[in-house]
Amino acid sequence: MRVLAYMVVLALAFTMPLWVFVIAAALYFARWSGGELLVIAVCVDALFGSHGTFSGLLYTAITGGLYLFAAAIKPQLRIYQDLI
Amino acid sequence: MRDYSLKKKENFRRGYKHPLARAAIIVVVALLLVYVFGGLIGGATAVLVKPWYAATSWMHDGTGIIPTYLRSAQSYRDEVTRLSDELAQAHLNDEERQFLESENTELRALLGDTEGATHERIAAGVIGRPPFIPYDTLMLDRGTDDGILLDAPVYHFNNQLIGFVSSVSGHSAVVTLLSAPNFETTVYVFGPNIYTTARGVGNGVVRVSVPQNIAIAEGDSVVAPTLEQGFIGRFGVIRSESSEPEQYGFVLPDNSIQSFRLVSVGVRPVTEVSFDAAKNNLESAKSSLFTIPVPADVLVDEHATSTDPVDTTGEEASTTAE
Repeated sequence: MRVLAYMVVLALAFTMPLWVFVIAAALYFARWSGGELLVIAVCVDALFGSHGTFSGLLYTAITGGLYLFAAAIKPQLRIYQDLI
Repeated sequence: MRDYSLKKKENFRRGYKHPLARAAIIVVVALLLVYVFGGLIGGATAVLVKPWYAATSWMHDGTGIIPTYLRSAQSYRDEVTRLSDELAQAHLNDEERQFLESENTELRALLGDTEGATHERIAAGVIGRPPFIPYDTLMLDRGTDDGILLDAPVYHFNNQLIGFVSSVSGHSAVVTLLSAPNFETTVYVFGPNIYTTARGVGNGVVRVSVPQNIAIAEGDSVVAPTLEQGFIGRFGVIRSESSEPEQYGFVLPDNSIQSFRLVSVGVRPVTEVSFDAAKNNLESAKSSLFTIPVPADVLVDEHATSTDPVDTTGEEASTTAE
């Protein structure tokens, strides 16, 4: 399931607008909180972004922010405490 | 040796114990990778995603049979959608045109422009009707400033006389209907061909009472001989009981009073007329009620009969009709 979701997010990242990818990434983080999405973001920025500039880090920055946010709030959520 | 190995593992895990710190480190590393090795990573990614973009380009720009077929199918679907939208818009326009045509016809009828005859009238909108004003009265949005005169006859659709102007001001007028209770009108009934008196009984209904020995029937026309255009209506209901000395014919309105939206008002008021003048008015009413303009090539009357075979061409028939 996680691999399938990852492939979906991968496809969305390369074919859909940014906001679609952001929503998909947020859902992925909410469920699995995996850092592997950063690999996708890095690839997208490397392929489409302006190299050597801060504006070319858009996908990585947003995905990193979501990842940090998920990591920060997960310990506070009871559902994850129960799982642990 | 085993002890040393365990200590090393414990130390390694302790260094990344806080998940938030570990996530922050991963994010920073990712940003640095993009910033520093963006070109290299981009090149590698381009190789990986090249099949996808090649397929996309093939679909959009390819000249092969399959992409051409798929593009044609899509274009046909778009065409169907566009034509469906145009059809819906055309239906809408057609309905609007039909509404305008019917309104135009109604306005022409109100102004007396029916069957080729034109009578001078003033069109007026009904702005008050029962039950908001007294029963069997109407309030119009035209007054003396528009040429409305006191006692002028008021007509509804299809030249039906419905009442007269009983009160008028600058921009409005009040119409009293012939159906106002106990309002009396001298009428002529086609069929038995009699003069009699009609009385309003309210709610748009006019009652005509005649003796039992006079045959009246539903559909008989009732006109007011005081006017050239005095058609009031036709008997819709006949009530006749042998135990009573008289029978009643009721003229019912074609439409409910509450549905009256537009009326037309004659430019001349109703005046007293002599009996001879009333008879002349009746002849005029007969002419308008029982005759219609027939095309010359269709009309066949006594003037057209001859011992010779009749040539039914339009030209000759036109001559006979004249």
